[in-house]
Amino acid sequence: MNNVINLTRPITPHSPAGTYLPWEAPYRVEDIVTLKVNGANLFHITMGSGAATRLLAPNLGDPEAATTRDLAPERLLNREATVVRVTPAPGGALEADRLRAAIEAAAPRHGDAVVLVTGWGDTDHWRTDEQYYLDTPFLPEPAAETLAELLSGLGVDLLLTDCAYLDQPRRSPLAQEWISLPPWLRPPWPSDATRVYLDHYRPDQARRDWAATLALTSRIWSVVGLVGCGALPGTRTRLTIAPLPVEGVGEVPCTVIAFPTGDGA
Amino acid sequence: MRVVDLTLPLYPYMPVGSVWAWDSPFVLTPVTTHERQGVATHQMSFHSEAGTRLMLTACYDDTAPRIDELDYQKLTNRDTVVLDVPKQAGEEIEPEDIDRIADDPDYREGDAVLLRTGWGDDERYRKLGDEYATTTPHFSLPGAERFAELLKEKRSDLMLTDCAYIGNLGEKFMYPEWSSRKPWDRPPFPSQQARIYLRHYTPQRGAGGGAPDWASSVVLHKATSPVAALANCGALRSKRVKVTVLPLFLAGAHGAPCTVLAVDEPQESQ
Repeated sequence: MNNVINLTRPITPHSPAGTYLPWEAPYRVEDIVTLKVNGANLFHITMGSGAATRLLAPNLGDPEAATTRDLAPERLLNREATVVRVTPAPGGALEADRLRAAIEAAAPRHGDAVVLVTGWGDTDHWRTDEQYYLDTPFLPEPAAETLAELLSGLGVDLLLTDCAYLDQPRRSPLAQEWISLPPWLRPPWPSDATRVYLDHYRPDQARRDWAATLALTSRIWSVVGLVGCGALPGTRTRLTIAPLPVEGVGEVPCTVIAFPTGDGA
Repeated sequence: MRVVDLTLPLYPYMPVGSVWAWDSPFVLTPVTTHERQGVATHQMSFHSEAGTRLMLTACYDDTAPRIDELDYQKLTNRDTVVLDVPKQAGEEIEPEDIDRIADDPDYREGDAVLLRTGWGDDERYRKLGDEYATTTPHFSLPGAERFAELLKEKRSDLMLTDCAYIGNLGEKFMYPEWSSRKPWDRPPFPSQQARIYLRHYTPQRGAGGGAPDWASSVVLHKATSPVAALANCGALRSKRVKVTVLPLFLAGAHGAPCTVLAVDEPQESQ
């Protein structure tokens, strides 16, 4: 029996990930050598730092704060975690009251990580469906602040969730200017269009579009974009989070593995 | 629980993934910055085997499983024996070295094996730059063959080492023709020079991914899943540890950068 559950969204060039937001870079690969021609298979990769399942560190919005490399290995490996299941309100909002009730009912232990499961990552619509990326369940800014305060108070330093983003792209001011354009008018990074757009994109806009992300990650390490959380039985699990070991950044793709324990395992 | 991170950090132009003609260096390009937009995001470009990496038989066999097709239970909390084969720059791991560790009383059947040369310690990669890759200890072909034999005998399907590369360092073609040159004479992939060189790096010319440049690598890939370019192995105090190897989850990949964490001094019950 396999006791390992992989909660990581596969990084694949065949999905539209990385093509909706101007600061994202799509995952692209190019063969460098092939078995047929050169006797070995090796390839070249370009991708965004926020691709697929990813670890977000306080440094994302604060250059003086901890980077993804500053999370100690003891806090990455075999972490005890509480699974909190919550149903979003119509439209996808994870409201503060709903979150508070779900977390209090699950009663995480001091030092736990918390896995916030909405069910959003339980089908494979991430492969093709723009709705997965743009209409994800999300945290309204007050809910993000409440969540950060609540988790800090419980001694929880790491939140993982199957939301595709913490802020819902479709509801952001960015949607009017960028996301709603036809794809051919918003070619992804490193296009001229993204460079010009981002040159006009200033911190006050980022504070609106990234409101929940910044509110949460300034206090709580976060992993966003889990998939397959429906396979987690019960309310307790162990987790290992393996971030790509990039120095000096606030977000990196990561691989997340769960080992169910306790009830339901 | 004492956990040791055995992963080489990825930073711009770090040596493992930057020196061979088929390498493409790790490059981090700011997309948004704290100063301009208030949030820092990046584009990354790198080689499929940058830094500490999990390599698969698929590198040399198109029918073998890929990164997203592996059994991840076999990559997590693996009982692992640490075997010391101290080596200096450029030295090869020979059959006699393997004979010396073969009867180590701590080596149990089914173990993963961490072969520690000392090369990955003390952040040597920062001091040496590209020479960290081109002068790494590595396996001679007879050494690789003997090690493959031992791994098979002991049913060890996972091998880790702090050698930056396990093959023969392109000794016949790629090192003299490419990697021995000054960096500005060998601009990395996707440069025109690298593309042209690789069009000529073929078995028809006697070069390519197998013998004589990378024969040891082929042997070890076919025997096990090698993890190369570990760092900081000197921090491990125990002969027996529990190792977790998790690759970047790239669908269809023949190998990928990975993160390696070890529980040092594990309790037997863990």
